[in-house]
Amino acid sequence: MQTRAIKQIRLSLALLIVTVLLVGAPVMASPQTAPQTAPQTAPQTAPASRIAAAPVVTPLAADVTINLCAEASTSDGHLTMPDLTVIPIWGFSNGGLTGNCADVSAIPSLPGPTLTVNQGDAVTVNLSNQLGENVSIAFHGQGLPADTVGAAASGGTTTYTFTASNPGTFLYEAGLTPNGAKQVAMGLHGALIVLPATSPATYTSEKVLVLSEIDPVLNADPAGFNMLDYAPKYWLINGEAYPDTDVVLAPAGTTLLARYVNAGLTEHSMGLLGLDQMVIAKDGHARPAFRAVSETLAAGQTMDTLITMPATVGARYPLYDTNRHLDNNGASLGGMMTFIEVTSVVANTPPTASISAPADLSSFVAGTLVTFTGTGSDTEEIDVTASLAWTSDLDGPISGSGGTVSTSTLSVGTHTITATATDSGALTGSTFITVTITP
Amino acid sequence: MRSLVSKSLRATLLTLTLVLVVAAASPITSLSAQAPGEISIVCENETAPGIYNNAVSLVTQDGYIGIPDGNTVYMWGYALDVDIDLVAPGVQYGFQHPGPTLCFTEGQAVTITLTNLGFSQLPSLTDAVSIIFPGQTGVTHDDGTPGLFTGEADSGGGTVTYSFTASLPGTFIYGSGTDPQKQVQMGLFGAIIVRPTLGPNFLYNWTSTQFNPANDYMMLLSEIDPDLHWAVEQGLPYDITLFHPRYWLINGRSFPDTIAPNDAEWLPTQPYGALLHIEPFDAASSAFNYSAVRFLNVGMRNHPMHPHGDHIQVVGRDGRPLQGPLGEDLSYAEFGPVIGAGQTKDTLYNWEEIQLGPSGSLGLPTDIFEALNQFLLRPRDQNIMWGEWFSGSPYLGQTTDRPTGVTAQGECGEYYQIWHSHALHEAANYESGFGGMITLERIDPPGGCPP
Repeated sequence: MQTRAIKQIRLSLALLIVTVLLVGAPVMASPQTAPQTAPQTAPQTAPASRIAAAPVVTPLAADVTINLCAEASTSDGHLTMPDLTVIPIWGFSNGGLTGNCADVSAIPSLPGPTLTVNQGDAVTVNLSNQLGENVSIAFHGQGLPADTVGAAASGGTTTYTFTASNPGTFLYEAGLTPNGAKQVAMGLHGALIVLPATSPATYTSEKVLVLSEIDPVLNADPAGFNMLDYAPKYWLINGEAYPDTDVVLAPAGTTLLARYVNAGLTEHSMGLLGLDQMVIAKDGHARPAFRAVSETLAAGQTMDTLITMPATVGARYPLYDTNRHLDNNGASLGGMMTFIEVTSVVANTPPTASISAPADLSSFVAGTLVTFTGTGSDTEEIDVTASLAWTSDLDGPISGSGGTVSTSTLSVGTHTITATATDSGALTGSTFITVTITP
Repeated sequence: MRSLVSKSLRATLLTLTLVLVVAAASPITSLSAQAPGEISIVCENETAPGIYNNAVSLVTQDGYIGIPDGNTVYMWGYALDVDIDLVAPGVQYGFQHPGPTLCFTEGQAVTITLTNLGFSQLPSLTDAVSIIFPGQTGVTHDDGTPGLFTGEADSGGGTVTYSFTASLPGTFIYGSGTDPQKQVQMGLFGAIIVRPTLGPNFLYNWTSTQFNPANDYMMLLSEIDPDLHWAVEQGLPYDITLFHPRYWLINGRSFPDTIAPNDAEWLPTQPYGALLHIEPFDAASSAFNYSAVRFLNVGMRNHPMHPHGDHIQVVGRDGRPLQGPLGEDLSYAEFGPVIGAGQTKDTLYNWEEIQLGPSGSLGLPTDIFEALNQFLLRPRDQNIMWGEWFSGSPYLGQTTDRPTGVTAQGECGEYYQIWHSHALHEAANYESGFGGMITLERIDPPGGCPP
């Protein structure tokens, strides 16, 4: 048995890596969460190849390793519906560094962690199965053959590798093992986001919206349940039913990318009241964009839409299933519904400019070619050097712009040379040096 | 009951080309007397041809609709208020299902006032009501009580007024935003049509969407679980988790009622028919040979509507033309267009004679395939089990007895074809077919049916 202290250290390390790998996981383990202290019933030794490499923070294609566990929720992982009904689930959880499921505090979540990788990444997913039946994972759209065997019950492992060549929004879910359909409905599903190699300019924020359903009778007794009797009573967005759903926030005047994933077993049409959305992709494939208020996702489908946020800060627009799954076990209103809310645009900070050459108080003979060098920096845009404009208080603008400008025509006298940086929000920052031109 | 006076006047206003004004209360004696307004879209707020009242006042009403299997179902509905009744001040418009079809011209400033008169069968009910307008932008509301989706009109005569500019042409749903799982199921919904600046014979400001304004049809799809309606009527708990629809409606009617004309007297609360009555496609005047077929789905299920043996061209969704950012034509043909719940699809349709095969041209076959024949002909003419549904109207077919064994009994060589939900369990009334979400198209010979 490991000591708790060691566990915590390993946990922190694991979280560092997982945080990089799993952007926006709806249920992210936190160091404050008590680790599972149950004894390891199936001790596992993680092979070296499964240990995550040190994270490389770069948009370039890389080798990415993700460890997932499939497990049943315990008391802290059960879902609680708005009517306070407690729903036990099966879910995926972050397997941390080693994929040793009994060794991390991550608890299974519904939906499972959102897996975010970059286009071109060579992705390795290690699955460790803590459930009492075989579990596999289907990564839809990734070109993998169906895994009909999966990881063996009660501690088995298996590995999936694929290259995330197509950017887009994808579903991963329990695959084609004999009990796969039931496993998906129990909660073994999540979103896989493949970020494009070049960031498109068409949106500034994005939100993953995983749609699913709960039939509490199934979840109470998965072994005894016949899926022919499946009749969902709760309708979830990212594992929550209204009014517990998270409000989707995006700044005024910007464009929001909504990434819908239907992990449910029935169709859902997601519509907006007062706004519309541009459907730009389905199932990870871009398509000729069309505008609609509501669009249907059949079971297993994904959809990307662009939503233009209006100007009025604080305005709220219902986002809901227009198939009207708007109740919590019959209690209205609830279910598959949330709001999109307009937030204020993040305040733009002005850039700063600096001049590295020539040195302040330098002196040159008239006619000498003087080269000015500087940089422009900005909190939001990092480098705005290209925007630098140079002026002399005696002669006016110096021709050229950017990090380096040269002139041999400065007039005799003492010049204040100002470099001004401008960011995309039209805010400016400047600095100056004094240069003397002698006859 | 709606006022006969207003109906007749409305018919007059609607159809200047009407050869024979047929009050709905009078039996229609000949199909050739069938004016476009009798079967295509009725804009209830139309004050003169193409002129739409922009200030509409609606009230809540309740009543019953008939289903062809003999059942009646208790419904709620929006009805036009007396105060803006252009024809008969002081006369309350009665319950109708679906709610009144409202038309506007692009750019019109619209106000819609809703007064909650409650429901006569349920005097102790205190439910607030409201209207949401999916697809409209900039909707504001005055008065009313704040609700989750929009402002609401409280029970006991509460009112709320919605205002918006009809800035986008196309076809839109309106319906209750208050407890919609109950109130929309109970019937609080209707259609809004916004005609584009380009003209009333276009679906959008897009020349490719031109159609013959005499052939402007809507198919508003819905489902009914009669057990839930019974529960509401009896004041019993309403449990949407038990939702099991048994009736599948187009424009508030179930087949074969769908093919009866607008304002059919035997359907006093279900004013809107869904029969298409067209002529074959004529390439020489193609622009005027398209029909507009506007699909709306206010149900909880998606419905795959199928123009049997044919396809349609989808040109718009939810009041948005299927055009790319640079005006690219993104319209597409489908033979099984799925109308998603809460969605609308604007389509263009034509029928080409060649679809009948090599024998096309004149001499259109007049056989109606047997299942339909059973609805359309007099029960005594053949031994059929559904004959009891026959309305007694000679609306489809001629009035004389048909010789035994003759299955062709058209009026002038017209041809009938079925349109139906291809989720075939929906082509039924309480699991008994044919019925449900079915209608027909009638194709007259080129030039029309001679009088």
